[in-house]
Amino acid sequence: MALDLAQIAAQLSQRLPGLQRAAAQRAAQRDQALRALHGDPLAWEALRESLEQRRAVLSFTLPARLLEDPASHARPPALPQEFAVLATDGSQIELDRHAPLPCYVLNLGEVALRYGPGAGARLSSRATLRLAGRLESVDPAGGEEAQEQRERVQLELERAVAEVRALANLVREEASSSFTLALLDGSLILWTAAAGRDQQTADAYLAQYLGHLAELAELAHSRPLALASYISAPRSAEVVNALRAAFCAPNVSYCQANCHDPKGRLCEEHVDLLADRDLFGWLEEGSRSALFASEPRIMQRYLPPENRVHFFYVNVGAEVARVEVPAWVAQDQRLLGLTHAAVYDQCRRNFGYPVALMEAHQQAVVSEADRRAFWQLVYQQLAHAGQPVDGSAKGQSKRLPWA
Amino acid sequence: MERAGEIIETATDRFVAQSYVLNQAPPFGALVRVSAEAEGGATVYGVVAQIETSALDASRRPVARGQEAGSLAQLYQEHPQLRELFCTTFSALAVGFSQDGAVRHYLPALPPPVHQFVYQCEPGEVAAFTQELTFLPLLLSARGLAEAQEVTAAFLRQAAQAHGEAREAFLVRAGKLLVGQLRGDPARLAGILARLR
Repeated sequence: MALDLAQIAAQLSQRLPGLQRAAAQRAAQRDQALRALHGDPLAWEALRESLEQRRAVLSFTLPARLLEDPASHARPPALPQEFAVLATDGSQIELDRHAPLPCYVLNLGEVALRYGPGAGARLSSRATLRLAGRLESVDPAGGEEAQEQRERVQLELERAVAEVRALANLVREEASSSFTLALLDGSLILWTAAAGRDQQTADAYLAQYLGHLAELAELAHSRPLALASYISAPRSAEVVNALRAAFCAPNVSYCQANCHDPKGRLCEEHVDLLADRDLFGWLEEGSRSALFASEPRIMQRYLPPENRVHFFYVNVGAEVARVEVPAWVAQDQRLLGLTHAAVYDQCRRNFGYPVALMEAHQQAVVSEADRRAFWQLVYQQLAHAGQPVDGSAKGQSKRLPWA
Repeated sequence: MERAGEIIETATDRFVAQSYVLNQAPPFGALVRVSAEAEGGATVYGVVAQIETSALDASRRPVARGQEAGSLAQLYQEHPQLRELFCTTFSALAVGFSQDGAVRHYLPALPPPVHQFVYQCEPGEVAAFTQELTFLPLLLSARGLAEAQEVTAAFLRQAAQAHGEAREAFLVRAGKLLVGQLRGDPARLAGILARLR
């Protein structure tokens, strides 16, 4: 018996009343925040002012920079008759230290969808075997768990770099004079690079990542190309954190003295349960929110500045999603509009989620059967070459469990 | 002659080929040929007994998408990925082979190799192959594909066309053979004869 659902059911029913209370609390916070968002249309500049005065002393995830009235919104412009959407997404077979060959696999899905008179599609995947040498380094801080954590972080970084590199290559391969949206799944902000313990390694991956983002910016000089990333069910609270300024003490010195302690923050109880998407449920289907600039600390390392991340929310019908774009897209009204329109169009064609991302994921995804087949291949080839295929006893017990 | 597809499953009595173009295949009942690669090898003949279009990834359930599309062509244009997510396959029952210049109307010693190319036979080739019809029991007794009397009748209708002016004579010859084969099953015989029109 692997999982006793009866135990889970009992625990879940105990939690429900608390969850209901939290939902009511969140609704109250949302209504209050929406009043602040839709307040006096001229007040947002005062809000921005107050926010910028405090920015240096804030201790929570830094709020978005307000670029326009945060309550403003826009309809998507019409798309040209002919356009393309390109996407990449990665998946992996993780490193297994109990296997006879310490290795891992990166599998990248690549999708090119052309719409209009020359409609067509190209779906493919590219698998790369990596031996573990590059990941294995001794962590002086200790234990096996820390080592495994480091390996996971590095693999995540390597995958993020591979996804954006493949996207730049795909843009080159799919040369076109009509509008092309290059789309990634998830955030353009490489959060993993900010959180890792091994800063030197993280910096190296970040530099590669930004290099590929810059390549895409360069490609956009010679053709109508935009880059964006799409986040379904986004959990960010950068706009929410910007609204905190509306609930804060008027003097910055209060924040300076108290912001480090959530209990001391005046703004905390007004917004602590909210995410940005709670603020944009009122957007009509297809409409996008105002544009914001993302300002987490890692953004200071997003150089050149044309790489810096901006974002908006869009009601795609099924949900309010977050779309991130680099500054070079955000600052070009035409590209920004086409990005908004193409993202909504992708969702409209595919029951609320971008077709290109869904297909890229489907190309990349590694099923349990694929994993088994992969390890079987590794065993076969090692055995054929006369290499030891023992692995560890734990590995054997997982692969061929006995009773 | 244009290739119709490529073998993806093969056995002594039947083979399955994947079409190169979605929703297209040699018609049901058509005679197809799998040419020998090496000299002295067998060129295998088969009769298309089932055509199928399904998702490449069996775990993905297709959904209706065309409520707002004006036509099927428009639907494919608006969802260009669909052409890459489905494939059309056709299954053929092996009915004979040719080797060293001689045509045999029974099963070959070895099935055609996987990935070998499949071609639809031209009328002249169909007429030549059907000079002899002793393989009809292979169609009549086939199981697991389209209903055997449908396959047999579809094959005979197309083969008759290939005989041109000798069409009637061909059908009379085929009919006599069927009478011999289905002596104990008049209902089935009547079913096939009714489908020859």
